[in-house]
Amino acid sequence: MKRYQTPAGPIEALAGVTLEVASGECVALVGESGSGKTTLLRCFNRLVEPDAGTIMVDDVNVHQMNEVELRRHVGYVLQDGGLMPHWTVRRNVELVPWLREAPNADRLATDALALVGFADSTFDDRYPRQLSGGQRQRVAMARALAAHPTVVLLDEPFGALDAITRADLQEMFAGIRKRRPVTCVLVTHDMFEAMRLADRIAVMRGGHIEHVGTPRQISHAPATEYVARLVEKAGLRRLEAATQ
Amino acid sequence: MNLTLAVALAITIAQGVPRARPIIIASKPFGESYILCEMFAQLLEARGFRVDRRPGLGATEIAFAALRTNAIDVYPEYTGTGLLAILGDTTRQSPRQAFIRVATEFRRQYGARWLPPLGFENTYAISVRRETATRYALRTLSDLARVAPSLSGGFTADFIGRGDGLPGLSRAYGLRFREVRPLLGAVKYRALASGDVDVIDGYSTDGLIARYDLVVLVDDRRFFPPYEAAALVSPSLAADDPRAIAVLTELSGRIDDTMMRSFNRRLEVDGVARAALDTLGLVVSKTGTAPASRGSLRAPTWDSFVHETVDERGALAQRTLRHLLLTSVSLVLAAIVAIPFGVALERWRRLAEPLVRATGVLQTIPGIALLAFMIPLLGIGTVPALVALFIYSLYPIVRNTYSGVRDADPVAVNAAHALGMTPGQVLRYVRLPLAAPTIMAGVRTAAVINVGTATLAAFIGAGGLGEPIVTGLALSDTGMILSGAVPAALLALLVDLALGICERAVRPRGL
Repeated sequence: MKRYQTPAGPIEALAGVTLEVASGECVALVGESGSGKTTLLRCFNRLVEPDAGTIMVDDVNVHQMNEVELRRHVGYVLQDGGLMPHWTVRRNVELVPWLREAPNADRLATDALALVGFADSTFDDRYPRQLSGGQRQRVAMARALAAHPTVVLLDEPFGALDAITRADLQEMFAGIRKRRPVTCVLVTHDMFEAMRLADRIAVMRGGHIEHVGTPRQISHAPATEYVARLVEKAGLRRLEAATQ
Repeated sequence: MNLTLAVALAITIAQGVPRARPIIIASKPFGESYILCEMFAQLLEARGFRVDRRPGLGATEIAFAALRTNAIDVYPEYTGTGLLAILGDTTRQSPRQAFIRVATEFRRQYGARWLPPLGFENTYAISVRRETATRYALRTLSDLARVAPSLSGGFTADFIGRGDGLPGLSRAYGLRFREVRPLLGAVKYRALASGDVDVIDGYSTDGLIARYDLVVLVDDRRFFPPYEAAALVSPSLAADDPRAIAVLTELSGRIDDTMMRSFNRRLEVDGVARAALDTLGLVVSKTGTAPASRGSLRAPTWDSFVHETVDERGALAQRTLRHLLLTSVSLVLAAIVAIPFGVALERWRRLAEPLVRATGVLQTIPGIALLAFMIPLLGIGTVPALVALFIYSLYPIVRNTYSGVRDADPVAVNAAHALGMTPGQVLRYVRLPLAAPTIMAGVRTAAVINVGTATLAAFIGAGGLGEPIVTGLALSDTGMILSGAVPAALLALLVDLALGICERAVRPRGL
């Protein structure tokens, strides 16, 4: 449970949320702005500390871990990339291995860059400013994966991209998961994206989970009216896009 | 480390080690005071004393504060000023009574000593153009009171503010001017001559009164106290060196009003002082003829400017170097303090704004006032000037450091935290590099302000390019003023340019 104090009084951003993510699984958190999906995501690497409740990773309560250590073992991709603007692509990707003082940081970075499609080193010495939005998100993804984290958190990783680039990156993401199985929690407001990328979807609304299930369960047997509406809208939008 | 030493040393000097050092002769920043200072100095030198000159020290407050604390040993002062501005005594007295009073009180309260008066009085001379005097039939201040409402007055700020100046005068005579404009001593006479104002507060020994053919109105109600000039001697010199006192006393009673007025008319400090001592038979001029002939009252601006910048280029170079030294030392010290302070504030956001504003308040203290506050603590010269410049440099650097570090790319900072950087690492690898150009911009602003402010350092004898400005203001010599102001402006531009290059150099690639 997470409560925020606002001038209007306390707001419960999360209440009674229980979610289990299996190893290697990708769970999408879907919902509108303010539904609590990002707050929940940030509990996993303790950017947000819940007021009550526990988060266990591999049977360890994250609250008992050193937060800096924890974050170095959890990948994180932000919507705007969050690349260090004054560092080259390679230095950005080497960040976490470097923080973990990995002896093979250089190779880890090369591997990660190859995963996101930068196999040759043409981009190594470029700065984020010199990249397109899609390229920046690829680098951000490489940075999150470089140190082989057990869990990767993705906060609207493709939200700021145009439709074509977004489709490309979604495809890349699906490909990466095949080559390097990793547990993912993906926050998105796009139900279609969630259906395409996730093994299971958790629909959130007002700080709690309305329905958790596979894409198929969600679309064929929505637990609530709200979930049904979301599914319907997502489908409609795709239809419109297809006919235009 | 070195600074502590320098400060300690300066304090020791200010407190006065008995006569291991030269006698420090100072003056206030106007022509007559310069001449008398130079006369004192040359006379003592001729008698075999070692002398250090510190002409043009701020105003009464600065000069007297320096004397009282033995930071200087002698400067010319006026009994009326001692009476009113320092003792705060407004009772009406004869010249003799006034002298006895200041002599006893200064000795009692401060240990300072007034030598017997030099022989002339320099009182306020409320003056008008001859044409104004004729038109309104003005002879006395009572006459002036009659027509004042249709005239405008131009007075020094000092005169407008002091109880023994305009406010008292207005009460005594019932004076009310159409308007009163504060004017700098140097421009007063020109403003009167050009008709911008009708009445000014001159000094009775000003050479310019005769030059502009002005009429001095008679103080028929004897409002102004006697302003007899005399050498005022510091407690330490008075106690330690009766020989020096005896030498200085040789001048007592030797200079009358006419003589002083004619010295003032040929304001050329060194030459006139030599000629004056020559005339008095106290010093035999080595060159035979006095070099005073070159100094017409006001050399045309251009000639004087060329003289100061071309003929005296050695001195100019030295002043520039000194100016640069004052500016850079204070700037580096300020950066060493202000940058870590600004960074620390980023951690205590709640305290940050009030503290940044507090450094901003320091910035608003007028330069002269700040320098005056510092004399009792640090004496005069380089150390208080450095401290003042240091204080003025803090705000731009603290402000820019704080906001630069605080506002560093929030997404990158957020990502840095989320990926497992410690707060220290976030600061070192993300916030500081991203804030570097902003911090440097603050240093640059401080540097440019500093180059300008450092001209004030001349008021407390720290030298630099302010020296010719202060002297030029006192002597009404525009060329001389420009010979300090133009190099100072050029220096500011150069410093700005140089730090602009540094600013680009510290900008991380990729931004």
